[in-house]
Amino acid sequence: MDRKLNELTDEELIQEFQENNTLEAYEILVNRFKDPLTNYVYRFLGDKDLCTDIVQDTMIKFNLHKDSYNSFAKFSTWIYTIAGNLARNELKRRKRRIIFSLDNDDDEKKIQVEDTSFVSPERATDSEMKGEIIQKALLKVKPVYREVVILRDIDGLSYEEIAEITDLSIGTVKSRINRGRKHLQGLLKNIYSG
Amino acid sequence: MEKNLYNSNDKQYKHVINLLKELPKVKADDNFEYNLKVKIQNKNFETKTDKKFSFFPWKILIPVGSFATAAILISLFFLNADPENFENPFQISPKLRAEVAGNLLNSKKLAVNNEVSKNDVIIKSKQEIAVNIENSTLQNDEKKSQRIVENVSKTELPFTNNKSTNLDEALQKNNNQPNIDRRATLASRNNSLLFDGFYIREEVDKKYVEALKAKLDSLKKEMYKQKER
Repeated sequence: MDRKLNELTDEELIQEFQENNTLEAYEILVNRFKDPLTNYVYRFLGDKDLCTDIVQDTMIKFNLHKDSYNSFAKFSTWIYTIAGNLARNELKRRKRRIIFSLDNDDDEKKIQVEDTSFVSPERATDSEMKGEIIQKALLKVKPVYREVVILRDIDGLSYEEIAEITDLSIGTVKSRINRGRKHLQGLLKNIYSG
Repeated sequence: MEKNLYNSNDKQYKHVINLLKELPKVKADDNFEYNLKVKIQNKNFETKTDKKFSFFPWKILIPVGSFATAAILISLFFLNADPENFENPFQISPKLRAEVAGNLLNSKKLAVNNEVSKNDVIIKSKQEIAVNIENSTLQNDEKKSQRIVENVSKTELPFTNNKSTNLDEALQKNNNQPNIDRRATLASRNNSLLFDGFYIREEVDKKYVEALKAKLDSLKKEMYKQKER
């Protein structure tokens, strides 16, 4: 039964969860989307603890409001929309409170980098530093541009999917992506030129 | 099935896109699912709580109050003032001292008619002050003399026209108390004269005194000379 559920698409799994309240279907969907959502929210907010909370809240919302999902839409865009809304709200709340965490060097907050292949320590530190610089540059881009750039260039979503997630027209999405990239290019020109 | 990201716009930002794609993927914590299950089972998640509705929003009072006070102040200082008779308080010439003094002494008498000029007012006020002062000094003197007479008549004198008395004995009778307390009893007696205040001792000009002495000496000398002759 599990194997069979694993083979199902996202939309089929949510349908299963909606109709039969199958917890396994829910767990599989959580398992499928926890990492991409964590990556997306982390790149958007730049805070690991906060990003974990938001992704968990996203999954809880998905569990509680499973019936609000429309079968005509793609499940990925639906769950990305929830996560994006929560992340945006959190960003607004943080701005309102004017809380800026200055110490990103805590061990607990360190990014868990996927260990796909062995790399030498020198190269590892170099790539880590590069990653940190890119992340800092990303956080300097305006949230409206940052969001679409992450969805497009990091998560690899299509313009149509991004338009659906952000509730914008495709033209607006494209222009925002270009502006975000332009800003990033200015911030990161030292990296890719060197 | 890779998507072709490099369309006309993407080529321009090829390097940026590559850098972003090279970024390491951030993964969820290992105990993510366990924590999620615990949260769901314990119902430990944020639910929107309705804010307590208050019928009287106090926060509104702050801007309303400040606006009201500002409006009152503006109406008091600007709107209420007659534009024709309005006088800038910073440009009004200061009042003369005599005028002020006159106002204080006799505000009714110094109710100045609008027809009379300022100079007349000042002269009048000065005259009135002088008259008032004179009247008051005369009245005071009369009162003093009356009091003295009354006091003298009240006191029982130990002698009459027909009878002679020893004054020392008469005084000692009234002052039987020890010498130390005498001063106090004298001050507290009802029949004592009213205390009119301390007189300021006027210092005599030494030069003037010396000049007088010199005159006297010269006169004396002349007197002696005439006698000798």
